[in-house]
Formats: sequence, C-alpha cells, structure tokens
Amino acid sequence: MHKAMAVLQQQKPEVSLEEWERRKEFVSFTEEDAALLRELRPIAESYADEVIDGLYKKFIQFPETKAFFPDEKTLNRVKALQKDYFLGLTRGEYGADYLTNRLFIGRVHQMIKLSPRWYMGAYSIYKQLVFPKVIEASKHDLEKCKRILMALIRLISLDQEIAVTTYIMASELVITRQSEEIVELSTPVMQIWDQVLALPIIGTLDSNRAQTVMDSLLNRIAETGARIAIIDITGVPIVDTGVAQYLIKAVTASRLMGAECIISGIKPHIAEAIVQLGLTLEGIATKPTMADALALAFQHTGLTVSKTKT
Amino acid sequence: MDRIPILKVGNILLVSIRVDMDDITVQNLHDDLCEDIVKKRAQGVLIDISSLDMVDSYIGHMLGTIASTSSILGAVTVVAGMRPAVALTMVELGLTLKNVKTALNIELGIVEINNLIQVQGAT
Repeated sequence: MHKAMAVLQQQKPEVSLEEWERRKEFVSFTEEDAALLRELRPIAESYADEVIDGLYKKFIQFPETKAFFPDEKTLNRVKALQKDYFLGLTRGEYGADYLTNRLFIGRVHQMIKLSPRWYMGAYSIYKQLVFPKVIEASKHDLEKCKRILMALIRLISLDQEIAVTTYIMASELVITRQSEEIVELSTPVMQIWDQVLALPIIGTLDSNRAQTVMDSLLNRIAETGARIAIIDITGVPIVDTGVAQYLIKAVTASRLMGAECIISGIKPHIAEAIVQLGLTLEGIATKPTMADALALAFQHTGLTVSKTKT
Repeated sequence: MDRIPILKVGNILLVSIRVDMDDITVQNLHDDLCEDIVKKRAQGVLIDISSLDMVDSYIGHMLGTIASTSSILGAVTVVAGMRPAVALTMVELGLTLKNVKTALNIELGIVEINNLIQVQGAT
C-alpha cells in the first residue's frame, strides 16, 4: 500500500499549474476569495470535528460508502486525513502545493475504486454541513457572508473538477492501453512453415484494422521472405463489400511483392453472402479451412507431407 | 542523359533500378530492353526495384508495358523486390500490374524466370 502511495505521489500531474490557474480564472477565484477563506480559518477549526463526524455518520449509513471503513482504526485514520483536507480549504494557499495535494487525493480515491457519484455526493454533504455554520458565524454582516459563501463554492467546485479530471484521466489511460493491446492482439502474423505465413483475422474488419493487418502482413513478408500467406477469416463474422475490398487489396499488394495469398476459413453462409453481394474473388485462391490452405501452400512450394508411422 | 544499365546473366537480362527515374529515363529503358532482348536473345527480364521507395503511376504503367512488349518478343518479365510501402501505394493507386509476374527478391526472381521459361518451352 505504501509503495502504491509513493507511486501516486510521483505520478505526472494530470493538471498543470498553468491549467490550474486558468481554471481558477474561469470560476473567478481571486486573491480576495483566498483572503476571505484564510480569515475563515479559526472558525473552520472550531467546527471541523463536528463537520467531519457528521460526514462520516452519513458514510456509515450507506453500505456503498461504509465498505471503505472496515474497522475503527481505518475510520479514525481516514477521519484525520479528512480533517486535514477540510482545513486545507481555509489554509489560504491555493497554488502549486494545493494542486498537488488535491490531485493526490483524487488519485487515491480513484485507486480505491470509490465511484465518482459517491465522491461527488460527499461534496454535497460537506456543503450542507458547512454552509449553515458559516452563515451562523457571519450573519451580522450578510454582504460578507455572501462573499465567503461564494469563495467556498468556487474553491469546492475547483476541487471537484480536479477529482473528476483524475478519474477521467485514469480511465482514458486504461482505454488507450487496452486499445493498443487489442490492435496488437488482433493482427498476429505467424510463420507456420518455411516461406509460409498465416494470418488469422478475428473480429470485425474495419478500415482502421484492415490497414494495420495489411501493414503487418506486408512487412512480415519482407522480413521472412515468405512466398505464401494464408489469410484465415474464420473469425470474421460478416464479410461485406468493404471487407472483400480490403482482402482483395491485401492479396494484390502481397502479389506485387512476390508473395501469393490464400484465403481460408470461408464458411458456407459467408460464401453465399459473397455471391449474393455479387462479389467475385476472382484470381484469389480460396479454401474452406486452414488445413486445405496449408496443403495448397505445400503443393505450391513443392513440399510433400508423408506419414512415417502407420 | 541517364541510362539504366542492363546486365546479361545467362539468358536473363537484369535491370536494377536504383535512382528515381524521370519519364525520359523510363522510355529509354524500355527502348534499350526491347533492343537487347532481340540482340542478345534473352528469354527473361528481371527488374529489381528494391531500392525504390516510391513508384508513381507512370513508372507503374511502364512496368506493365515493358512486360507486354517483352512477352511479344518472347521473353518473360519478373519484377522483384517491391517494398511493402510501395506495394500499398500501388494498390491504392489501382496499379495492380496484373500481367506482370513478381518475386520477393532477385534470387527468387531468377528462380521464377527459369520456371516460367521451362513452362514456355514445354508448351
């Protein structure tokens, strides 16, 4: 856990200091707001414990949030951290350190997989607990009370933005990594025999993927000196005009490089569909299964397979 | 004026294109090849384009023309060593070189030509 924390602390910030300043400008968080909040500090200290207790009373009531506090020890530790967060709101410093701290808090919540809806809800509870206190403390000067509340709203909304940003960035990172993996996984080109490549295509073939498939096929032909490439489309659910077009392109490009292509894995209903669409795979060798295609490849490379045992 | 050298190896004429050719150079190559096929009684033409990282539509078209003319003069043509990127561009341009035989490299190209010559001799 400590190691994970260290990693979170060293992570590249999701929000740059420059952007942070722009965001503050956007919600009109000014030096005056900072000064008002700094002034609020002694009052905040006086009711901090009460607010935190109120907040956790609420957390305990709901199983979704209660799950994060399995025992008394954890609860007390988190409460102490929460108090630090709360007092941070009135520390009067809202620059680089504040941003770093808020980003870290966001990452921790993201890491423990607290869903953002509960996280955002907690901000609402905070407001409900704190605002009456602030109003109570400054009711003698309603104009100033209004300004303090505005300052608080601005700062809390900034905190929320940071939290949401860390969540989104973390998910985006996962999505990017997964899509890279998918592209890699989906286009393996295997050398199954001397001078024979096999390229099983699994899943829908869109233009993006077709391009990747074609690139890796041609490059592998150049690398391995293969003379025959078997493109297996057993795993392609639908063959429409677009897919047929990609296949024809791949076959033609391979032929230009001096390699022959065999398309295998054409299921009966796919064959029917191809004919019904009026597509002709003319001049392209097609075989129902990979085994048939391999046999043809052997024939073309002048190899024979013989049994040594009966 | 640039001319692409044509080497005779056995009964094969070997052309290795190593520079980007302009239209005149391509035309000259075509003329020279036709003359050499007749003069040197060549049975095959092997064009190596492994050094080219770009083939435009004119050169693509000319490769097809060379193959057709050679065929009339009794020689088979094989284009060898096309790079993956070039092959992709050719396909995108719709240049499929349908009547041209291809090979992965010079070595396989020579094998291919000899096969083709044998087939021709048999028929």
